[in-house]
Amino acid sequence: MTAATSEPLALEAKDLGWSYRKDQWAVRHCDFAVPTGRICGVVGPNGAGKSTLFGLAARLFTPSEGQLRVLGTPVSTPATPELRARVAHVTQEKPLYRTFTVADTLRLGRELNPDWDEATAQRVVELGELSPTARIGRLSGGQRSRVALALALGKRAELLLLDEPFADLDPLARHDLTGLLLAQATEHGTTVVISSHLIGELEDVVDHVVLVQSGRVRLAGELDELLDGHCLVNGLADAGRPAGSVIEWRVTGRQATGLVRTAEPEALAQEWDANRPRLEELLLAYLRNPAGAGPDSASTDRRPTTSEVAA
Amino acid sequence: MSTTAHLPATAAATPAAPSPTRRSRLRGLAWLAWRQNRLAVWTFGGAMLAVCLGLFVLHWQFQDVIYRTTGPCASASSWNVPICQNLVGPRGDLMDAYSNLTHRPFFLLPAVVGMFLGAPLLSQEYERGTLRMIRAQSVSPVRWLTARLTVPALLVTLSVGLFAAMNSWLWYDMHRLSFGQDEVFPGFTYASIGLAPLAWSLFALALGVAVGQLLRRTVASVLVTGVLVLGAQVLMPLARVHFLPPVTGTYAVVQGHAQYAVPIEAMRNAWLVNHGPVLADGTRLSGSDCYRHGEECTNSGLAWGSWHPLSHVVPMQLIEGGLLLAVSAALVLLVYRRVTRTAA
Repeated sequence: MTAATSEPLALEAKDLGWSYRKDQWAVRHCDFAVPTGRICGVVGPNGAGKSTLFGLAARLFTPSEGQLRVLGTPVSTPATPELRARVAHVTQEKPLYRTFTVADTLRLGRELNPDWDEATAQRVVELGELSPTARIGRLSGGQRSRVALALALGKRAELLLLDEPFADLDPLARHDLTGLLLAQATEHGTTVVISSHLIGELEDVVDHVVLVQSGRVRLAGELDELLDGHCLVNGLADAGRPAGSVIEWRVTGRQATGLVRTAEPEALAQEWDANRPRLEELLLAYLRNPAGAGPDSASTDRRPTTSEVAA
Repeated sequence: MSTTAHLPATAAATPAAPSPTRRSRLRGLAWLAWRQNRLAVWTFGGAMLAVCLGLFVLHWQFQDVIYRTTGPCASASSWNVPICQNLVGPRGDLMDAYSNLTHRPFFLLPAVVGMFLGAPLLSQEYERGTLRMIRAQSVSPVRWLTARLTVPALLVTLSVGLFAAMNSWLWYDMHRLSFGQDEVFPGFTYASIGLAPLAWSLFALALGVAVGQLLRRTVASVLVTGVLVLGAQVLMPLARVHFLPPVTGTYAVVQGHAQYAVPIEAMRNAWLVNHGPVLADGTRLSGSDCYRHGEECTNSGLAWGSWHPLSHVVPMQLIEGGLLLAVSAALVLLVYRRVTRTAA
């Protein structure tokens, strides 16, 4: 962790909050940091506040409280075109001008961005076998997503904010574009912040995770550190709870399984059948237990009772 | 070293990949603004140009009538000259059509501008979220908005300005010939000559843009803009009458009742504001007061009237135009303030 804080940060939120109406908070008390060069997955249920975080980072709106720094500059300062050039953003709706052709849309990118990378943008479009003369309004949702991605990738920004970029793409297109995205990111050292419902798909891609739930950041950090810091335990229900903070605890008959946050997985392994969780297992355990936020989760622990009754 | 190695690569890549469809010399935001308004320029600009061309042809057609009327047939001695027997000749129907029909639909021109050029301009960008896409490009929202507004503003200024000039010219033809029944003030002519079409169209454009930004729904803002522009046009005469003090006069009534008498100067090409009998004690009553003062009105031999003569049209339009442009400027300022504040 000490090594991470000395690195330059692409995103740094401190007690960040945004209210769309008085006392109606879309996100609040968010603290997280994403170092540059990472592929960061932002996950969480629908309406958790993921898109709000993206909007704040893209300066679509200004924080109501707290602070957010993007590439070292607070978002509350007015954006210059130079600052705008450093961040690319694809919103969930992927809005494009419907009367424009694909070629017009790419030209828009070229005309409005100084470091435009025509070759990359063209490749994204060509991979989808899109005709340059096709009108955006006549494209399918997936094809539109592809053009929106071409626009973002062609911008050659330092920070790419992609909000559900692959939601309406078919698996093959998703695979192609993920590959292209990763290649671009590694080549140029781009930081990519990507949100997705498809948690399993993110596992092979991301090296940093931010878990957002009910407008709060529940978990944020390097993927490996998070996975190492948690243990998936399995054992007899009578044996009692393991030490450390229990994120989830489920009893089925005489068997108990759970996810435990611990600094010493080796100690747990002596008593329990302990495994390193996969990202999907880790995130689902957190998402299934929204009340158990923070270190108190072990003592408050509400969910297991229902499982016990069912058993 | 890595950055210096990159630079020539990008420089080489950009010109190597020009737009495959069409080459235009416009760059950056100017290109985008042109691309977004292309259809409006071709349709609205084209239609207005066709109208202006039509008006020019009409003016050219009326030349022989104007020549006869103001030239050889102007003097009383020309009454017996054969060509002066029928001044209008075969052009009569055309002149009728112009003076009775042409002005009227152009009363709606500002509403059309507001509804179809102004209202969708920003409401569509908000509604479809494209403003967020623009925010993701490396341009400032203020510069983007400036380009976005300049093209339609120029289009309206040029096309409506040309139309107003042409139509004023033709109106002057008719005026010289004392032809036509469409009065300048109470009729539709006031709205389609001089500064009025341009000032109203620019006002409607600004209003449409502001309404569109406020409502963020295309259909709703088109309708609201139409209602607001037409409402303002209908209500404006209530204020317009006070822009200049009217000419007043008193005159003796030789025949008939003073309450019905209309000053001879206000009979044609003037805006009769008020008129009525002057009572023995010098009180000026308006015609409707005579329901209560029937006796005194009937006995009055003196009438008064107040009216705006034709010479008031230009100063009146200047005041009105100034007022409308000031409101438009305020609306545009509001739009700028709001567009920088939020794009959500």
